[in-house]
Amino acid sequence: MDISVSSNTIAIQGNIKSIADHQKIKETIDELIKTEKHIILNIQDSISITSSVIGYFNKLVLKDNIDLHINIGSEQLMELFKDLNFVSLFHAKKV
Amino acid sequence: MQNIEESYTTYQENLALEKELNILRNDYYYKMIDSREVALVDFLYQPLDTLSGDAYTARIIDENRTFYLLVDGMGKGLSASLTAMSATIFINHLIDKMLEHESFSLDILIKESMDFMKPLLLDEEALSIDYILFDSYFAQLEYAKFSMPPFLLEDDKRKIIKIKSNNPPMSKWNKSYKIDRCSVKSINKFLFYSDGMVENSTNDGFVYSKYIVDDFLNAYTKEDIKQSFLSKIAEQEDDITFIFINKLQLNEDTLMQNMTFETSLDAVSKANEWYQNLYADETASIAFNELFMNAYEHGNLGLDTKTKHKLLEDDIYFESLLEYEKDCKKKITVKIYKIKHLHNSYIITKIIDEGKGFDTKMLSAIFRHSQKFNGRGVYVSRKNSMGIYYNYKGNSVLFLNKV
Repeated sequence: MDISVSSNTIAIQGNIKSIADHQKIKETIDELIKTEKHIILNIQDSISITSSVIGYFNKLVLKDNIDLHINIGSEQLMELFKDLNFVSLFHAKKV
Repeated sequence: MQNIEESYTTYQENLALEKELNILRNDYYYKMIDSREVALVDFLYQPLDTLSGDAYTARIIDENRTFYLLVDGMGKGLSASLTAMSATIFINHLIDKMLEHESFSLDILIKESMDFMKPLLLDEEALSIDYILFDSYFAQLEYAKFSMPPFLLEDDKRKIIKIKSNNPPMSKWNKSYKIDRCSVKSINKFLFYSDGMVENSTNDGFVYSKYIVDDFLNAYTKEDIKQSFLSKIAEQEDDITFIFINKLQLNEDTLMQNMTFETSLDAVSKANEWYQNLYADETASIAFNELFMNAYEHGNLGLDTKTKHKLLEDDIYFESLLEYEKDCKKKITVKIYKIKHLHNSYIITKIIDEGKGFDTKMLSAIFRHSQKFNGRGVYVSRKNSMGIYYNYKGNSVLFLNKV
């Protein structure tokens, strides 16, 4: 998994599946939210997401009041978001 | 020294598993729903490790309502297990109190358990959980799904209905939740499961979510789904839990035989011969022999295990049975159904006695310690059928065999 940042937008390439992926995402976003309250996350091609990443996003939105918008490239991941009721919470949409 | 450490570890692991199974309250252990319709309720609980991050519960609320719970703690290991087990313990305790006061409320159950769990959850912890209330009288499902995989339902036209989560995951930060209802009048089959199943890699490089709908459609029993799943994966990657409910079409159209027998050893022989002549299937006959004998000696004659052992030790067992049966006017009814499902046919045999019944929870101990003499008949029956199921009272048993 690779992660890059441009202004308030984070792009993730590759599958999100390991503890290391979770830690990388967390470190990147924790740094960004020091200055940004509105974050756009482009999950370009990952077909999976770990529960620990979901838990982290959940805290960002509900506790830290971050305005998080997730753009999803994979149809499979989008279906997962719909099945598990993440679409509304994370303003998720298929791109 | 290493042997001592290993046996201590094994001892602790066995204790932990026994504790887990104690926590998972299952009122449907080897039981069927036998009110307006007959439905088989089956469970698969297969932790990846000793401490499971999954938990489930099945509670009979009253003669028409059943509550099911499925919990999946975030991640793996001790933390996930502590969360799942804590939630399950509290929810069961609350249900016990509600039943004591005859005041079950799904809404209050969810609210109170959320309030209980919030302080326990870590800041970034997300708990996936299904609260399901099944009302067989009104044919209604009431549910609150917190980021669990969709329920799969099959209707009487073999159409699959998916019910998606109506709540995000439970966390320290949730403020509200939603309960929805749907009619299940035309639904014959249900599957509730945790994500360990659908996220498991398959041998062909995909994940099991690709196959679950077709396998569910083709399944008639829990074993069908279990085998379909296991045959597609190289190894289990997470805790696997599912609840499978299948309504049986036991009616005049599917009824093939209906016979009533006296309570006598002579009738036991006649019944066994009759069944063997009907179905040459040896495994089905073995199961029938054992369960009919149980209906005779434990059901109608009311012989408890302790007395039976004493009679056997004293070598007066059969003479005693002949004595007891002299005063017994009770009957044993056998009904046999044949049901077709896709390309397969199933023989469903129901044996009904007029005894007091028994608590099927004792079967749990029997199946875990099969080398003991008690309950060997039931154990053998289970091995020679696709499942055995008792009614709530325990005086009627049903078993299936594939033809």
